[in-house]
This record gives sequence, structure tokens and C-alpha cells, in this order.
Amino acid sequence: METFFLIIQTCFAIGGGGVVLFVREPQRAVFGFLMVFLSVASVMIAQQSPWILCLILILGFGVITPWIYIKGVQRFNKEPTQPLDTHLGISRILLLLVSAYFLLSILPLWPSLLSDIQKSTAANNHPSLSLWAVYLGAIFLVSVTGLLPFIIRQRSRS
Amino acid sequence: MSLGWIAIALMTMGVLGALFRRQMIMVSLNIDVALLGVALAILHGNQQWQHPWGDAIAFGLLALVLIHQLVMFILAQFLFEKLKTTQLGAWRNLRG
Repeated sequence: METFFLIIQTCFAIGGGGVVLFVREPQRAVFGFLMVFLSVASVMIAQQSPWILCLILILGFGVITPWIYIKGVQRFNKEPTQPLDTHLGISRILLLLVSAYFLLSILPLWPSLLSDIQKSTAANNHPSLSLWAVYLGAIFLVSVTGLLPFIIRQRSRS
Repeated sequence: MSLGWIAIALMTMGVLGALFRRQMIMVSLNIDVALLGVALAILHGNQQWQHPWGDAIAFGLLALVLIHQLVMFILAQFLFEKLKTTQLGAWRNLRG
């Protein structure tokens, strides 16, 4: 799973580097730089403490995905002359890409997190399985908050 | 593909981009990508060296890159408002 984590971060870092290298507009190059920064910082923090990285990823997921959604809706409301389908499509692709990055970065961290919990529970003689389930459920619920705007939108459309 | 190769790739892309760009923001962004590669290389190298300052230097470089980028944004905005351009070559030819 650590290899999977490294593969995702590598793709993100090389992709971001390519964006900075080839793109003409500074606005887009900043996004590329942020991609590289995020992936390098993730790898570096994961070496030190996977718990802190998991917290950062969940916070980022919970903040950035709603922000993209809200920002997308604001532009959608302010600029009615632009093609609506294109606007919605770009926002949705960006939202899905960011969500996929955060979720795919959080998931490979589970084995190391669970082994940490296992070590601490073995030392304190707690019932490890239920504790694992509680941790898993709690962090899954927090993770889902990032996807709430997307779910609400789907419901309001239908 | 180890972290060392990724660091080398990032450094190469950053240096290549910085050499051939003309706008200040783009040059600084490319230099910072190369510096992020350096930070990754230091962290990867310190896994073998185990120097007590190795990880601190890598994280310090990461923080410096972020601060540098913020300073560059403010500077670029200030210079653009004053000189109406972000082209490095145009600034060199300005008089007065």
C-alpha cells in the first residue's frame, strides 16, 4: 500500500511539474506548482507521521472540495453568457479530480495507521477490533463531508 | 521508481523551465519546482545518512519555497502595477 501511495504522489508530482513546464498562463502554472508542493509535502510528512498527513488530507478534502463547488456555482451564476455545460463540466471534473486525489491518498495510509493502533492497543490490552471499527467509521464520516456538496447537488437536480 | 529519480525529474523539469521562461512568476515557479526536488532528494538521502539535521533541512526548504512563492506573488503584483509588465526582458530596458 505504501507503494500505491508513492505511485499516486509520483503521478501527481510529475504531472504538476509538467504543467509548470509546459503551460503558458501563470494562473494554470500555479495549480501545477501546488500539485507538486502537495505531493512532495505529503511524501515528506508521511515519512514522519502518517496521522498528521491523514489529518491534513481530511481537512484539505473537507475544505477544498466544497470551495471548488461554491466557487463554481458563483461563476455559474455571475456569467450567464458563457456556455453553461462547459462551466459545469470543468467544475465537476476539477471536483472529481481533487476528491479522487484526496481519497486515493488517504486510503493507502490505512495499513500504517492500523498498525499504529494495533501496537497501542496491544500495549494497553484494549479490544482492538472494535476500536479499529470506531476509528475507521469516524474518519470515513469526516471524509464524506468533502463530498456532501456533490451529493446535495445530485439530489436537488433529481 | 524511487524517490531519488522523482527528485531528479523534478529538478530537471524545474531547471529546464526556468532557463527558457521570460515571465518572473513562471521563472520563480519553475525554480521552486526544482527546489522541491532538492527537498525530496535531501529527505530521501537522509533515510540512509540518518543525520539529525537532515529532515529539518528538508522541511525548512519546503517552508522556504512556500514563503518565496508568497513573496514573489506580492512582488510581481507590485511591479505589474508600477511597470505594467511582468516580462523580465522589458524591465531590463526600462529607463528612468
